[in-house]
Amino acid sequence: MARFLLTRLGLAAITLFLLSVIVFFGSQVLPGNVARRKLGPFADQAAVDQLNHQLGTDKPLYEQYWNWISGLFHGDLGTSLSYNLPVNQLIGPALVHSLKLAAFAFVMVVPLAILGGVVAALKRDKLTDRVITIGGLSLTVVPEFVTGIILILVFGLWLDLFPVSANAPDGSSILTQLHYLFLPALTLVIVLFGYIARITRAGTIESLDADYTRTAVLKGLPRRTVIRRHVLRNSLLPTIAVIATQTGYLIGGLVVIETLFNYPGMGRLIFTAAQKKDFPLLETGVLIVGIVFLVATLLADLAYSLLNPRIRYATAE
Amino acid sequence: MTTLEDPAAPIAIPIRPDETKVERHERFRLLLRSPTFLIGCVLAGIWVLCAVFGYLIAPKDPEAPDVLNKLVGPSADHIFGTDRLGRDVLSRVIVGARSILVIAPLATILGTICGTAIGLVTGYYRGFVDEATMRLVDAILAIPLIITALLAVVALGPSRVTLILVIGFVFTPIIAKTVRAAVLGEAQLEYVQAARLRNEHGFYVMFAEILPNVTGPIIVEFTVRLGYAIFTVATLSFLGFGADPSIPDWGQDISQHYQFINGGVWWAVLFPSLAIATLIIGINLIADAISQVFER
Repeated sequence: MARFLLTRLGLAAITLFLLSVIVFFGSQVLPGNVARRKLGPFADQAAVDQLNHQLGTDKPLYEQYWNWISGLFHGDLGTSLSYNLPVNQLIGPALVHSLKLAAFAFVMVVPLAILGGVVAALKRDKLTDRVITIGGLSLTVVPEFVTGIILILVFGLWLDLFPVSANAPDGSSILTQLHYLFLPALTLVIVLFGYIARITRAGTIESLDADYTRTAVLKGLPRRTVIRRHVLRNSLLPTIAVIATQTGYLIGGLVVIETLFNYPGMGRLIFTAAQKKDFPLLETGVLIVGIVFLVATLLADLAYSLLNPRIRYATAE
Repeated sequence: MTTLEDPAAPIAIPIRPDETKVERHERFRLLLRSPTFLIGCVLAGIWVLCAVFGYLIAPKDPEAPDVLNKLVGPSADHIFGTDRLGRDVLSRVIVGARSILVIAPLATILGTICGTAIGLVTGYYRGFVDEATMRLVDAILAIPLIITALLAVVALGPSRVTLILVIGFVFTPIIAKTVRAAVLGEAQLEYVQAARLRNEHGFYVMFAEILPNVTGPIIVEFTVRLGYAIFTVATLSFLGFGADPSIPDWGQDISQHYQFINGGVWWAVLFPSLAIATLIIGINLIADAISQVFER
């Protein structure tokens, strides 16, 4: 177990390092001259050189990378160019907002999608199954902004049930906040449903076909018991892993959904940073998204191996 | 395909060309019998026709403004209504298919070619390059596709070529991972070992022996990626990082008329939204049917 943990942690550390290099090159090297971009095309060359010297952007690349990364470890995430505020002051509240939205969506989608997947598997190749799988797939692949706009039109404009903006007035109760968050959360639910349901269905079908299920049926256990104790216990394992890998996708979806519903979360912060070419904010935002994703997949791997002794022992050998 | 190869057989029996042909024919017949595939072809086919014939079949000039008829709802004259400049929404939806159906397939082809080459090399030679590439893949996969694309488009400046290169670049490692997995399985089989014993050059083994046997996963991956490419192009242009502001484009039209929703102007956003939805669903139904046929 310890060895398994160490291997996973080591791999995650390497991935994280590569991720930071990609983000660094994407946001500091590709865009070219930092000071020139900040001062505009008409600025004096001497002023540009001086600012580059001041910002440290005239140093060799590895030194710039080192300064950036050691700053990160000391909690110095840089200063946002467009807000003129330290980046960590902006990212903190945004992260909390996004977590709220994501948690709300997850609470709705996980039971719904697992139920859908199990039902589809039990009714395999019947109409119910086709409707759930094809319908779920179709809803999943449509871009979030399209789903969101159709929801806004139907529930916000025509039925007038839910507010179009996700921002509840300050100091409103939890219920009011959830009311405001419902449409963006529902958009996420629709996007995630098909994917999770598909994996649950595949897992359930696999364990329905397994020998142990046949044994359980043949020894005369009631169908309900077979499904609960023998099928679901094995089929929900892969689902856990998939739900965790969806966090990365989730955050990508948040960029669009938060922009669409004007919700001040991590996604909209990254989008605003991209729009305003605010590179310090953009690179930290992207890096944090990557870290959140890696931590989530790591936790999922751990949960998966804790629940599934077969994997735990296989790697420990 | 691999199904004809029995790993336990003592002697590798090379597949005769006519057998492969029969199998290909059989697969095609299965596809044509799949309702998923046919519905997907109809949905995607409509938009391909619109992309090819765009300006010829559009009832009105999609770029001609009409200041007296701004934001007019659907009527006999304008079936889908008019937009904020009085342009015909139906014509813009028809012509808008072209921009997305040029960028997305080109990007996917680029990603597939590069990804296949990398996947073949890493899967065949293994070792350090393989390990390094796979870690790089994990790192790229840790950032959501749309954010990577956003980062790159902002850094390089939006244009048609940038979009193709960026999406192709992001797809490359993902496709490489799939191809590598398929190659790992193939490399154990006798015909590869036989080719090695004949002292064939590594490139010959990879491209002439292994590649024809991993086309199945590559085709499946290509169609799946095509769906993602359309998704990404549409989303980027909705976010304002599209190819060219002067060309009619669904995502861009939606983002420009989104602010009018509260005023009751639904037609200028609904119809382009439905266009994107039907195109993507069509492509994904095709991808789903193809993967089922290849994986049976």
